Amino acid sequence: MIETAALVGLLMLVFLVLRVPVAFAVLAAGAIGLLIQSGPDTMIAVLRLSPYEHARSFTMTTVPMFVLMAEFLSAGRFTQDIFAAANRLLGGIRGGVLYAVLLGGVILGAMSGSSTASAASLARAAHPDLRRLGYPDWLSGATVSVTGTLAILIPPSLGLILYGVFTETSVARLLVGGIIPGLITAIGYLVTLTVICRRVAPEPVPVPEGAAGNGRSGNVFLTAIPVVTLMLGVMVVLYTGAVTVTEAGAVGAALSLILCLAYRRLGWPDFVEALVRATRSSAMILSIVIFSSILATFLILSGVTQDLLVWIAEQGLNRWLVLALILTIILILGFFLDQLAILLITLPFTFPLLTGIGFDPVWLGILFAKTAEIGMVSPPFGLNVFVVSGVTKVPSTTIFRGVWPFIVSDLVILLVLIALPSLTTWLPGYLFDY
Amino acid sequence: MKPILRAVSLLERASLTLAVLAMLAMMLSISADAFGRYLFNAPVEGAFEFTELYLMIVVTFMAMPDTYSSGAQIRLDIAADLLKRVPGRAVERLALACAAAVTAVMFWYSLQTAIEKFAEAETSFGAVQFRLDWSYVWVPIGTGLVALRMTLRALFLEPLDGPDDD
Repeated sequence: MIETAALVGLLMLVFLVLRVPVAFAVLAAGAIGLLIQSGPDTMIAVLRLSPYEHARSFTMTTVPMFVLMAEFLSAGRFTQDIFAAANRLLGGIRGGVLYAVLLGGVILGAMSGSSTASAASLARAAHPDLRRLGYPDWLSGATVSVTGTLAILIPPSLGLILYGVFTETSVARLLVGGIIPGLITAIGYLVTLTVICRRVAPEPVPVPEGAAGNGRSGNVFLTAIPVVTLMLGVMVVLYTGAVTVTEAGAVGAALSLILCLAYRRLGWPDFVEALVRATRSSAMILSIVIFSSILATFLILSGVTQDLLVWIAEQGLNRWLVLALILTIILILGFFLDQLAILLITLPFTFPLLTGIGFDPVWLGILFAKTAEIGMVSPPFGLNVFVVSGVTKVPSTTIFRGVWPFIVSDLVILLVLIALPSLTTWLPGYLFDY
Repeated sequence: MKPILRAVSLLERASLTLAVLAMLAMMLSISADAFGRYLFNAPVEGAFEFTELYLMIVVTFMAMPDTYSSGAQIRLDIAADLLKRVPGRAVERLALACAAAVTAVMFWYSLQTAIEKFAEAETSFGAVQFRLDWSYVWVPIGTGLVALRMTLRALFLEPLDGPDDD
């Protein structure tokens, strides 16, 4: 059984390397696995109904609705306003525009839920100012790339929502569980930036003469405040249980649309473009989710997870060693793939294995998300760096030069989160169990 | 071959349009239900079932052909430069043919299921009874279009990464 699972894993890797899209690589590998494991009748039965049954999920509507909310806010150019407001606040101090990027990234994380989308938005909004003020490309590119990763921990993280839906772990607990690790990560970046700006590289970072603007007139605070209020409102109704996670996404999307219309920022072409982009992104994510279910069915039928659990028990392997091994694999996958894809292709195997040896599912979700996030900015293939490079036209090699201090900070924080699970589990326990 | 490619593109665009409309309807339906329930104690009857049975299926499967053909699906480009040196990009096309075959199997059997559901004319339970056959029909349409596009690319009938590929 383990041999079949290993063959399927290898097959999936071959499909991926040969540039078959992730969703269809997972589908093909899972279907071939079912064919070998249980014969053609089982494979056909699973292919016939499983994708439909998994797509027919009300809970899963969370994904398209939060994606749509982010697209409306982006189309309404509120992303730029967030950065401009943060910049107005912090732009006057040494390295202030970089701190503004960081603050903007925290707020954007609460808007977009996607690491790459957040990095791309920040790059578009901040890079022109950073370059105009003479910030070196390696530093500004690296700051924007790593700040984008905050979106995977700060609610509403699409990665955590998908993890919750896929593993049947409480999405609300996961989102709340991500708050403290997300803030610790932001603080880690803040400390790293401060060290770079004031100690390690004082010369290349210019002190701006005044607050940088984004070239637009009007009070940016006036346009940023409703968006921040909307974000906080969505969070509050979500955590108080006034609406479900799904409803929060849909209501947030509807309110974002109303906000765009109220500020007269959404013409018909922008509206259609936002809808098309959201539909495409959602379909891409959902197709990976539903086809991963076929791989998951194969893994369940093969019994490989159970076999491995027995093997670990028999060998007396330390469970922390197993966790470290799996996190290393996720970290390496992060060099090549988007965090959502990583979570979905690894979860069918890793989740039952790790919960089977006694790890908390909420804590695991945060560790998986954090680890995948580190991979997103790590050389040589960190996806966020390539996204930022594509937007800013700064060579990826230049940006990679600047990410190392942030990666060190991230690894330290990951170790802290592993050593102190209560940093993740305390807040959800406090809010939901008392 | 060009008329076939044009027809497939047209079908992909039409299915994407339907998915986009379903996306908008999903936002309106869930929001109206939530606002109705919490503000006026009057939820929209059948909103949950309508979203689950039709809108989610349409968004997922009707946008799938366009996400594939437009290159919006995530894929690994680690070996892209190396693979482009292979004559005819034959290895990539072989892998794609495997994926196309599995997708075609899914198309064929989900089509049988949809036909059976139309024959049975079943409805859902609840205050509003929805016809289930119209929920199943989108799976074969979406997967069929994807399988067709993959086959065209695998069989050298169009560039591997779409019309703009060099």
